[in-house]
Amino acid sequence: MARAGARAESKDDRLELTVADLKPGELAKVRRLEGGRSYVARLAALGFTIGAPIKVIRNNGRGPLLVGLRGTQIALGTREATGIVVGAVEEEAAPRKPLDTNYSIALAGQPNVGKSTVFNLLTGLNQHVGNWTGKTVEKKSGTYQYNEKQYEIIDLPGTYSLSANSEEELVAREYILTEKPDLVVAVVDAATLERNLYLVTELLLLPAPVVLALNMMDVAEREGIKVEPEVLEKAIGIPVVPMSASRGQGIEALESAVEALLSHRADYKPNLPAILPAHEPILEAVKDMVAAYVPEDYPASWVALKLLEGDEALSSLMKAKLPPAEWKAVDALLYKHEDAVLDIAGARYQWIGRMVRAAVVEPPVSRVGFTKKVDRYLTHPVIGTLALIILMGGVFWLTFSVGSPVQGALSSLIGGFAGTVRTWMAGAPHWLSELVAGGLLGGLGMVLTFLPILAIFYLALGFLEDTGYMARAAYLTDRFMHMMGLHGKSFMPIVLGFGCNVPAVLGTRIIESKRARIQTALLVPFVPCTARLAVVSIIAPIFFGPAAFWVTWGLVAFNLLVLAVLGLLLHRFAFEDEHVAFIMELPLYHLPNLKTIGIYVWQNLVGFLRKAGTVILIASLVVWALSYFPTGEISTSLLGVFGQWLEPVARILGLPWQVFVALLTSFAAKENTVATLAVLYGNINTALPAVVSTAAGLGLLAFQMLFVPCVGTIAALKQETRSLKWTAFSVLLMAVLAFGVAAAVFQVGRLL
Amino acid sequence: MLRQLLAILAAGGLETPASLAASLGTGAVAVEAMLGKLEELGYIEDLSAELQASCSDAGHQCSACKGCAACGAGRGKLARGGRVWSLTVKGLGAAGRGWGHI
Repeated sequence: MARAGARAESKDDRLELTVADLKPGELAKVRRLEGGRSYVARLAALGFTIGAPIKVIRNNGRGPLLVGLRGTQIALGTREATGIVVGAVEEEAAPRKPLDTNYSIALAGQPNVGKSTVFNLLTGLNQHVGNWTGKTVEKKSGTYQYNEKQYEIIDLPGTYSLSANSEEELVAREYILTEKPDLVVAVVDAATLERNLYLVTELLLLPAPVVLALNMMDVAEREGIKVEPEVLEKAIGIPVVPMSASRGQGIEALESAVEALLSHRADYKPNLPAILPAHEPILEAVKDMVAAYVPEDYPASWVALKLLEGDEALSSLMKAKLPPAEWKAVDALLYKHEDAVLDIAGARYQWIGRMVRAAVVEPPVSRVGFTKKVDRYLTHPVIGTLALIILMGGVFWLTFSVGSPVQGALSSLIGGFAGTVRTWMAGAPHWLSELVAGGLLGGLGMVLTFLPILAIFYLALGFLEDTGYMARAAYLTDRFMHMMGLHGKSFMPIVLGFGCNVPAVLGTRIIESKRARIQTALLVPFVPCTARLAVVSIIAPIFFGPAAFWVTWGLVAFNLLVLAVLGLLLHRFAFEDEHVAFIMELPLYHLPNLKTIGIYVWQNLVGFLRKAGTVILIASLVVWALSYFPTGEISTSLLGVFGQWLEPVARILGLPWQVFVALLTSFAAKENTVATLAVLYGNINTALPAVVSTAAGLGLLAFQMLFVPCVGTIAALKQETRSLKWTAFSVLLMAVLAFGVAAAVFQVGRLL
Repeated sequence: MLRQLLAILAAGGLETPASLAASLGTGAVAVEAMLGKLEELGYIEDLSAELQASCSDAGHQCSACKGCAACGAGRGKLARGGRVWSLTVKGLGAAGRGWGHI
């Protein structure tokens, strides 16, 4: 029979043969796979791994080739065939001897560790897919041959442990216990060993010997994680095979390790996770009590351990097996030690920690390392808080310095256009031209000029969020909340409030204690939501120009101070706190994705436009109608009469009644303040400084930040507190506070 | 190790996997795995879904506004960060019982 190697030598030495070059009947070994990563992975998954012997069955130079690989026939396209570089086989294949030994191997592992790739590499196309008897869980089995031995391999469902929490976990452990495979191959992800080894700690307790397939070594290497398989092998005391299954690497070593362990089973002495000494007598007691009734296939010590872990499936099984009186005694013992699972599982994690410390060298610099380094500063109580102040100040600064001039220009445009509309509609009834020019363009049009400001605001926020920073901002906020007696579950609703108060109030339902829930719900409206901040972003520059971003920061800080004082008072006099810890994942820092930020900005702007087209539009028209009818003059209109009635109150704040009315309309939606001002004044950029002093302007902003929340938040408050009394208290408290603070700011300000 | 973790959590305050890892002298990945185990055993609960539901329940308000990251992110994660957990009554009880129970 012709051999590939012989023909390769007769050609140019630099020329390498591919499968496409082989003739029918020729034998060769795979030397290399070419054609890109995903392509190579696909070939590897078919069983074309380095060193795998192949035989060409059909190759007529055109169309697909047929090759024999691992006992099966595979059709290859010409492109695939030219990607498989082959070399000579050392010897003529001897006539196949009858296979004398059959072994059964179980393949176990967590989901997403490359278990299926390993299975495909081992079996090629020699596999069968069905279902586990009586289960909906998929069962994959296959065969492979190695050194004249045949192995049947069962791909167990992906599981995180063997604790019978799911059908998959039950299937996996039942198979190992009752079908008694000769060996279990545990596939783990080398890049996340700490997460993967828990299943191994459970597998080691079962009767079948275990080979550890340390997969994804390439991924670990890429992440800068150095895993030392030899050290891990010594530490655990079982064979460890480094692999990169997606590249077809390590499969032969795995086959060899499986064969070696099956041949030298007596040498298998794994280092098992120990149970804590305090639990040993209890474990022994449980074992003694149940041993006589344990089903034949189950090791009694394993059953006892699982019962102590609170395994429900085994508890039901043993309850059915034991006489009621004896089970009662077992059950009482187990109940007494119901938390033993913490120590048993805890000891496993300690074992994992030891193994990982021995065999894994963490990356000196990686995303994890980078995040850790940066977080040392950004989550530091002092430096982190300063960074938060600077970053948020930067957001405001950017918003004001770029957005405000654009908004001003748009505002002038809208004002000019309103004048043009009035000219166009000179022949139409006066009320109609005023409705369009004053009501629609003045109110809604002016609100729409916010768009550039909002776009920049959300762009900056989206950027911070997408880098992973905002979670740190939330983390830092917790220290502040501790100061006011708000702990644990109160934290997250308060943080949510910075986005929108409505879901924040609804989010208080996670708090079990009713008193703590009401306390948190009452405090949420003091968190400045994006709508409040958007209005402040528009009004602050009108009065404070370049200093607007400091003023805005000051207002946010003041709101939080009010929240803190109120929180302390409620904590001291009305409620008790719920002192429960909260754990929050902080994502790794990463480069922001422009598309993600774009979607975030877009979603928020569309949301704002929807609001503008509904609530704000209606409010603008209502305000316009009230300010126009019945006389066509604002001073004698319905709103004018009402406003003049309110004027003495407004004067305490240094505000004209029009501005005070505008503030009151924020009850429907916070943005209505600006819409109303625009309806009543036209171009607010020029009109407001003429009628409101700087001191009164600051009071106006403070009022806007502290005043009663929007109607949606009030409805949510009523829903969550289930109390009209507490809802009314919240509304009244905020109204009084807003008025009091605004008056104080104006009265003190005008003295300076 | 899980008991130590519960004891830290029972002391209150906001923790992150990294801060817990520092307290326990282990890695953040290990802490995440342990948190997963404690959740599976019912000692802590993942509140992300419930908080996320509060956004859905906000209905029109949220669909119109989408001002908050929790509602706008659409990833089932809060503030574009990650999951959030809290101790359950069972967790608090276990932290209180400690070894004396044995």
